Amino acid sequence: MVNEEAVIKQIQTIILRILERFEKGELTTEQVAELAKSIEVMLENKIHSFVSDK
Amino acid sequence: MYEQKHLVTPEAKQKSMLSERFIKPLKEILRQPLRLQSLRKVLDLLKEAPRVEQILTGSNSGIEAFENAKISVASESVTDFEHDSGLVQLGKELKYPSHFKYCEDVTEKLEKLDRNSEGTSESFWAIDRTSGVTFYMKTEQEEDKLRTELLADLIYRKMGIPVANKQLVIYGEKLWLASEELVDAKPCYLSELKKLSSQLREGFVLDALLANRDVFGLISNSNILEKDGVLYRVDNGSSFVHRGRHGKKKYSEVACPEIDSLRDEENTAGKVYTKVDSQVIKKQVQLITHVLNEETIRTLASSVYGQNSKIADVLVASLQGRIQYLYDRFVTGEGEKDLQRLASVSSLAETVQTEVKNIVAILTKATDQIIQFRQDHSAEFNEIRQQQHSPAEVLPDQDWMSSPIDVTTMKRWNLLRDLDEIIPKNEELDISQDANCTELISAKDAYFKALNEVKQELGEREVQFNAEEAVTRLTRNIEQESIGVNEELAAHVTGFEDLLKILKSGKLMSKAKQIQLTGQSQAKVTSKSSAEMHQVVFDRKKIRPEYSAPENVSKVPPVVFIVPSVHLLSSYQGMESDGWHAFGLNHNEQNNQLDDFSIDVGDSQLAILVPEEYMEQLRQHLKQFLKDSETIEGIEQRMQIAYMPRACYRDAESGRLLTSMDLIKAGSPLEQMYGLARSILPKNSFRRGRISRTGNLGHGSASWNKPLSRFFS
Repeated sequence: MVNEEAVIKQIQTIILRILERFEKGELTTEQVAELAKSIEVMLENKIHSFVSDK
Repeated sequence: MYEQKHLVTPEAKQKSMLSERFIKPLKEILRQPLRLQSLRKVLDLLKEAPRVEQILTGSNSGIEAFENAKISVASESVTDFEHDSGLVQLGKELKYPSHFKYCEDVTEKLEKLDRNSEGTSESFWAIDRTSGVTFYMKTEQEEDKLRTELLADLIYRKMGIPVANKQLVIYGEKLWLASEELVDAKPCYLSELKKLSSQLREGFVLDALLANRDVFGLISNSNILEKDGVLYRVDNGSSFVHRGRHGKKKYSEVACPEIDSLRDEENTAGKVYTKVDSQVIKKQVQLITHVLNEETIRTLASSVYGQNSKIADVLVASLQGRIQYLYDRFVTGEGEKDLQRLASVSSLAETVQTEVKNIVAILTKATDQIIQFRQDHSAEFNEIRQQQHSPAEVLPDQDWMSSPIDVTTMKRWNLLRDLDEIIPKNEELDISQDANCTELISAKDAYFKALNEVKQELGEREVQFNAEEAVTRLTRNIEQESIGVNEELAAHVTGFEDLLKILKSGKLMSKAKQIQLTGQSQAKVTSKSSAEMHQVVFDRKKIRPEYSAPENVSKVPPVVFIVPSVHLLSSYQGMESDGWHAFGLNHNEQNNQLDDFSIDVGDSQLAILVPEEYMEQLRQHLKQFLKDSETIEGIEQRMQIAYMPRACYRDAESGRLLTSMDLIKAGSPLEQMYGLARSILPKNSFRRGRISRTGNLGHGSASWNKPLSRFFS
């Protein structure tokens, strides 16, 4: 079963990958910001679904 | 010729800075387990990545602001921000619509309403003819009060604490604060506020930070309105230096004493906030540190005061100082560690330490003797216990003369008499209050415990002593005293002729030192008795212009020398009477080692305020001190000289010189002088310390032969 902790961990990993790509020069700060906005929406949806399940 | 590999392009430098300061720290944070709130904050930071990139290639203050935010996120990864009120989310900015442009003239736009307006300031209700929105309009004699209220509101909003939607406008050529009406909101009085305290507590640290002492209003009025379950702080006029009604209050730029006073039930706010504990404060302080970094506060202050405002600079610096204080005290605990150190015997002067250690030794010896006494007389104690006499029968205040005296009672009395022989006499334990320390409290605690045990068995009244309370009282007193000293400036007044002599000698010093160094009493016009010749007198919390000239001579405009009290008391010894009579650090009359007060002109902690009418004369004089290509302004800066406007020392209409009483009554000239001094003096950070005797005596007049004290930090 997927829980809140697992989602947080998964998102941390995604962000780490994004930062690595940024360091390699594959992404700009603007692109990082846009990705952060998308992840935020994803995170809030996931969290909201846990709350609804309860 | 440089090799290619040594060339670093600006772009590459920026990129590496961004990586070092932004990406790497974030990666470190992300490698640790995070809580949801912290992850959200990391995402918030990432969304700001383009701005961070700009900041990192820009000012240092921007970098510091970012560093602070980053550290804060790191610390939050182990802290859970849970809020006990769902209606208020601390840290989430509240955005309100703007009805008018900044300081827009709304005289034509608004129509006055025939509606009763409450409050202490000039006020009325009005309606915007176009939008139909109603506003509560208020103005103050002091424009600054309106601006600080708005700044406080903006800070509350930034932190997610609901306030009324206010804007600065011009109406009838005056500055007003237009506050949008909260339609159908109900006032909440103190009795109701106690029930709603969980929501209000979300803003407790902010109330303290902004020194908003009248946040809830008084019993008869209410500054809190409730609408749809949400509580709005609608009148934050008592924030910063201002009082709720009129006038100014004490406002610390380096500490936040309101964090204690707002929890004190003696005050109105304390009735709501009494139970707010350190953990709640810690969480709020962490969040405030995260959101209210220097850049954010500066942006908010600029939106109220405009760019390059000195008042805004002072307010921003004061908020930073106050946040730092709260952070040190509640988050890192450094402040509390300082207090524990200061409460210990080792923070007292050596001679006082010896005195305290003697008393601790007396108490420890007496404790051992009492325990031994109890063992030596165990048979008698057992006998008394077996008789099971009611202790009440032999209470000293009972009429024992008329009660029957049996053998056990006699034994009890004998034991009490013997006990009295071994316990120290009061005069042996006599020590002045300021020498109190944790070691002394511990020794007293052990002593009273041993003594009470015996007294209880003998039916005697016990001595009440709570060591924990005593330590708390001691540390909090040290804290309050430190705040007081840090807030204070000490002022010494003399005349213009003296100033020239002081500049020539390069020192402000005692009469004795003047004679010693120059062969004559060169700098003090006011006649000093020989008893006072080793000291220089500084006033606390006041400036006495009368000291600009000797008695029976026409008064002249005052030249004021100002030193922060913290510097004065930690670098010199002071005898307290009406101010601080400052002596040298090694001034010890008892062993004839005399070291008088002396501070160099140009010392960063000495500001010299000169009446502006002397400007031309002084500038002519200063030419002789010019170094190389130095300008007159340069030398004034080096010597920390500033010119006081006439209003600081002369009556505006008659032109007569102001007296001490005038300065106290009018208030503002004194504040103006202190403000001028503060603008010259370096911004010192908060220093904890305690004013304690040095073991030496000052030698002023015979009646003032008092112990000298220092601020031990």
